[in-house]
Amino acid sequence: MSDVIRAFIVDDEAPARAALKEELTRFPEIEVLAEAENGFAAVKSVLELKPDLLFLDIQMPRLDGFDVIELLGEEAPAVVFVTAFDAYALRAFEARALDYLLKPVRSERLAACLGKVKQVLGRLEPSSRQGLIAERRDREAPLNRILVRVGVDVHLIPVKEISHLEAQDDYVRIHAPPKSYLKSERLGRLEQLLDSRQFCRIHRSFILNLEFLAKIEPWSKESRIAKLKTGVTLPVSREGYGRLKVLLR
Amino acid sequence: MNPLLRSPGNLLLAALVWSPLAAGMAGLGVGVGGLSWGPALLLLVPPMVAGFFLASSTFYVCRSEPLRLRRIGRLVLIHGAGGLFFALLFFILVFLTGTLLDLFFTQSWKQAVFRLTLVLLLAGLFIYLISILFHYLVLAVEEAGRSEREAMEERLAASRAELRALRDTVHPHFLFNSLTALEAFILSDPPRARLACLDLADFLRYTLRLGRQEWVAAADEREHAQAYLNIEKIRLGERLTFAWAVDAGVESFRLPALTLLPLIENAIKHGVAGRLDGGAITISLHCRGSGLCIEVSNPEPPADAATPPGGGHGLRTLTDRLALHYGREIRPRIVRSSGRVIVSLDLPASPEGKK
Repeated sequence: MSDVIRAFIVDDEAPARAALKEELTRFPEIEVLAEAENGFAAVKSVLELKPDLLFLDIQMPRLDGFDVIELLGEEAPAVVFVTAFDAYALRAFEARALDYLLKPVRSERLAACLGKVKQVLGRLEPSSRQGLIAERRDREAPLNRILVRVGVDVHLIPVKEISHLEAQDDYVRIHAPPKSYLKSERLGRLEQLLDSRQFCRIHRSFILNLEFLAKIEPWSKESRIAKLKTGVTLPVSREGYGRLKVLLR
Repeated sequence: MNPLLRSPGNLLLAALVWSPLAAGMAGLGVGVGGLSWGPALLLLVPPMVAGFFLASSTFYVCRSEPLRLRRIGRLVLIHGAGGLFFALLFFILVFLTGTLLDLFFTQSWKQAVFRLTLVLLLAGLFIYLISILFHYLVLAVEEAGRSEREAMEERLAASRAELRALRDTVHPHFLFNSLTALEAFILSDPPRARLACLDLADFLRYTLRLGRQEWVAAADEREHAQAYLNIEKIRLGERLTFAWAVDAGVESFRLPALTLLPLIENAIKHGVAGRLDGGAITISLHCRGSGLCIEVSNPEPPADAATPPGGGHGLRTLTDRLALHYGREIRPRIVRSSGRVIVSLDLPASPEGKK
């Protein structure tokens, strides 16, 4: 790693970006590569420019700061949250942010933050961000959308458009007819986050959206199959059938 | 519940008041009935005790027939009948006591009772009147206590809603983002920083006087909202555009302070700040009869927001505050049409007497 820290600023308010940029000029070891005014542009640019450090606002339209980290996944650089309001402090650290700055930012506070960044940078374990959505959303309402990144493109999939989810090795294929997306996540974790009245784990490898279920037919002695309104057929295990019966009662 | 049964203290107090009455009754037995004191007490005290409990039941009559001048005829009728009934009942009680005493003591009890007939009937009527007076007094005291408590609760609810409005208006997120913008402009654009400073000062001054002045002119509300919009414009830049449509003559319309701002905050939060490309909001203040119609419209928020809109915390607080001034039927209504959300609020002319 070179001595220069390449930083990237994300904030939806131009004056806030300008203020932080101005403050950062006092630190010659920091080079501000670029800035972004929303989450979509941030994901794209961070993947292209690969900065060392991300100054990330939390409240932004459509994609907030936490969403940006989730979408970047293992490709996220070191993150410092910058926010006007400290209601998110705890969540920020759960999302493994290095530090947390309050706007307007004081020079001394920024200096202390950059000291911390320099210490930690370079020995950040790349796998440290696994399970980020789980930690973030556990205590909140069920997911109402799933974020997927395909290359640099971000997709927001409303859960009501998802017919079923399918485990594929370390990934989950999310079927939202007529499209499908691959997300790096465990099926079990998504099962926990989705609304359990709407989504049912019908099989070790499948979660079904009940809205899309047409009928259930016997298959063999021990198993059944679920026919979907889209014409797709999915296997239903014995345990899965038990869960399904409870939900459909 | 009958006041006698509410506490042992009440019962004791009533018994203390009743004892001289019972003694007086016995005295009448001696004076008019020609009885000596012993028999007079024996004949008249038991019916007085029974009468005491019977009289306490007039509480229920009093409660169901409140004292109202326009119901005077009905009251006279009911209590006249009640009094006669009670007097008769009292007489019968004494008569029965006399009959009972006849079985044990050889004295002309019944004759004494008949000699006392008129006195007993008048006494019964008197007892009835005393007891309804007492019960009406108790009811009036209770009513006063209740309305005082209700008024206090109402005042409490009002101040809670006002506090909530104050806290919501000077939202930390708004305040600190504004200060951040201000800080940014101090070096890069001092004239703009100065204007922002003045807007912020105006905005805070108006907001902080909330609670001291409940009713304000529409012109003040508009000025306040304008200061707010100026600050938001600095933060959101090109993403926010807004337009006013104000009828001539609405400036002097009186409305509760901080009615307009929550509507505009709501529009910016959902229809501008939540959208990548921002949006245009329109604010209109129209005369409608003697009332004022406020309409604030904004573009639909994105359907895929992390937390879907509809919480409307600010609008709920506004509804609560309006309820204190006008009643529940005056509240913002939300209409969606052709990609826009319109929140409208129809206010009647201010009840000037309540100012």
